[in-house]
Amino acid sequence: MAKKKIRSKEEDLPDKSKHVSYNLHFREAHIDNFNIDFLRYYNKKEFFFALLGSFLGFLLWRRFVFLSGYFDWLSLNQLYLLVVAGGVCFFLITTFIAHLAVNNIVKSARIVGRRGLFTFTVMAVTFVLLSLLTGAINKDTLMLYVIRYFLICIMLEAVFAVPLDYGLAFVAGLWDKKDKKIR
Amino acid sequence: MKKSKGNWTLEDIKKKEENLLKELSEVKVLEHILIKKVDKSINKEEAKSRKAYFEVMHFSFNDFAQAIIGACVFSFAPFLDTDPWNYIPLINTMFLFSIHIFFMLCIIIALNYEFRDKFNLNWWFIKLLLKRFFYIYFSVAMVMCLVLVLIARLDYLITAETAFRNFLAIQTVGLFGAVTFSFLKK
Repeated sequence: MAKKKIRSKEEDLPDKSKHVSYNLHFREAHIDNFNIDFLRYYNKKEFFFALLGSFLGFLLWRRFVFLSGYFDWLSLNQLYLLVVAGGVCFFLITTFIAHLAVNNIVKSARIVGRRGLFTFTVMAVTFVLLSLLTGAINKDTLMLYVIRYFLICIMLEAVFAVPLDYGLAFVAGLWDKKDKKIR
Repeated sequence: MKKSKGNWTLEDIKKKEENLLKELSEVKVLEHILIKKVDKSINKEEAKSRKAYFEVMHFSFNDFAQAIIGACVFSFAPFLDTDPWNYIPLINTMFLFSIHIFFMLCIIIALNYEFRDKFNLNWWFIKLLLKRFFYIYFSVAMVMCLVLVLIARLDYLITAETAFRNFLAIQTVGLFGAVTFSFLKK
C-alpha cells in the first residue's frame, strides 16, 4: 500500500523517516534525512578517539618510519600534494554524505569543514607535542625537516585517527534512539 | 471495503491526521521540557542576553573576513619596515611566549565584553567563546604564515625556534588586529 504524506495545517511535521537531532547546549534542533550526528557534533568522545588515533599514528611513525627513512624517496612537493589530495578527497566524500542528509551543499560543507578542522588540529598538536617530548624535533631542527616529518606523520596519523574518530563516533551514534537524540 | 492502491476513505485520513497531531503535540511537549531544563541551567541574569549567545555561536563568513582583514591591516607594518624584526632575536623565547599567552587572555576578555557588554566571566559563555576564539586564531594563523613566507621570515633553512619566534610575534599582532577590527566595527 502506498504511503501518503498527510500534512496538518500547522507547521510542517518532521517525517517519521527523518532523524531529529537536538543540541541541548546550543538549543538547536536539526532535521536530517538520516543520522549524521557523527559529523555534526564534536564532543569528548570524538576528541578521545582522535587523540588515540593520532597517538597510534605517531607511534608508528616514530618507531618505524622516523629512523628508517621509508618515505625518503618522496620529495617535499610530492608529500605536500599527497596530503592535500588526501584531505580534499576526504572532504569531498564527507561533504557528499552530509549533503545527502542535509540537502544543502553550503551547510554540508560547513558541517564537514568544521568537523575536519577539529580532527586536524588534534593530529597537528599531537605531532608537535610528542615530537618535542620524544626529541624527534628540537629547537635547532631546520624547518625543511620539521615540515617533512609533519607531512609524513600527518599521513600516518590520519590512517588511524580518521577511522577511529569518524567510524567509532558513527557506530556510537547508532546506539542512540533512532528518531530523537537529546544531548 | 477493499482499498485499492491510493484509495483512502475519509475515516482513514482523519485517523492519520489525529495520529500526526498527537505526535506533534508529543514533540512539542518534549521540546517544552527541554527548553525548561535549559532555562533552569542558565543563570536568570544571563538568560536576558541570549542574543549574545546566539551571536557568538555562529562564526559566519563575514566574521572570518573581518578577522582576516583586521589581521592583514595590522600586520602590514612588517611589509613596510623590517627594523622590528631585528629586535625579535634579542627577546627571550619564553618571554615572547608569555606575552603571546597574555595577549590571548586579553583578547578573550575583549571578546567577552564585545558580546555581553560585561567584564565578568560566565563559564557557559566562555565555552562558546573559546570555540569562536579557536576559529579566529586558526584563520589569523593561516594568513600570518603566508605573510611570513612572503617576507622571507619562514623558509626551509631557518631553525624551528626562529620560525616559532617569528610566528609568535606576528600572530600576536595579527590577533590584536583581528579583534580590534571587529570591536571597532561594533
